[in-house]
Amino acid sequence: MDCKTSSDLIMSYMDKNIADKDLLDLQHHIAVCANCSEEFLLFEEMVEGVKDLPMIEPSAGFEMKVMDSIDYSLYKKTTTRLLGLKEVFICTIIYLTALFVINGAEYSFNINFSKIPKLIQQLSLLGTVIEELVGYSMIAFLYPRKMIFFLLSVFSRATTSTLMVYSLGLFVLTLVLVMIQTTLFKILKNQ
Amino acid sequence: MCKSDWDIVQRIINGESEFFGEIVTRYKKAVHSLCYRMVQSNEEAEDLSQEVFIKAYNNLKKYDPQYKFSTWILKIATNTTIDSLRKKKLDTMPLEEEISSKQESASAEVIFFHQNNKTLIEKAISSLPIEYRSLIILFHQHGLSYKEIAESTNLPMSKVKNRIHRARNILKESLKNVKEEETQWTAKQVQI
Repeated sequence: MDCKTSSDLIMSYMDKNIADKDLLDLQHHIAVCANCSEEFLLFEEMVEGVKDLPMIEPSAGFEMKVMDSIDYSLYKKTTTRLLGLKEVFICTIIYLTALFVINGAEYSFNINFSKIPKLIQQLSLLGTVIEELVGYSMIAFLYPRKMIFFLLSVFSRATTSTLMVYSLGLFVLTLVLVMIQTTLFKILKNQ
Repeated sequence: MCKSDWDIVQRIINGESEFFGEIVTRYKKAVHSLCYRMVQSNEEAEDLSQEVFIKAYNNLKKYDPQYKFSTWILKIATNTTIDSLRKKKLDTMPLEEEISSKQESASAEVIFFHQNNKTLIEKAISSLPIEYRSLIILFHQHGLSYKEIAESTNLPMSKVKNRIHRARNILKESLKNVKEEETQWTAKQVQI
């Protein structure tokens, strides 16, 4: 074996990718060739030196620094909430309770079936209002004055205005609850 | 029970980001060591390591479990460090020029070895061009295969092999020069 082949085999040996026969040939060569023997020892020392280089640990607070830097919301699953249904439900209960307390005997726990047709009538009126609104929605962009008159006629109906007042009250309560909830979460997170 | 890296990654992707701490604990040494060997500064290595972990966290969805997690994060570490060094323009010479200039200054390095009392290998590695440095560390210290290194560095395997062989030769020559210098120095001391 010549020294050039020996050098190539030394590299294969360092790659840990040398056939048994080639290893034997290499060992025989370096036993008789001083230069290749020296080269082999130098390579081996160098490779062992690199392998044995100490692993350097970062400072004690490194892990905390990394965890403080990452965005925890990146992989947060957004829970499918039905647009604040919980808040609406809570506010509805509070609202009805407040109405009951304020108005007292007017609201009875006994279900009055005679009121149901009236309720249906009011709902159908509301439906008519919504229909008219949809019908006018396209015209609204072209005829603003007509839209204004339409809105005035809608708001002038007693039933609609009553429903809208109650809805506004419910909306305000819901908004207040959401704001309180958000603030509380922020306070807890900052702690 | 020791969870696999892939199990932990899946839990993080499913919303349990706090498990990323386990990943940091497992790989902080390897990442920091690689960065340190490249930049030769503990402070800078720590900043780069932090950047590496943040990048890894932000790209967890891109991790392919058919590859080892260590290979993937070391790839990020290598690329981040090389980008950082290039931005600082610490290595603007073409590769071939740098190799020859490093070899010409070998004698100065030999003196430097004695004066600073650092391990020969550490200093020899720090004198390698950046592209060679990362490959030698990844192969011999972190035990990555040629294929894994090629995937990590987006280089053809033949180029990886060629560069590692050249890096070994440079390190061997550095070691040889130091040993010769040591022999001469010892001989002089004996004469005195």
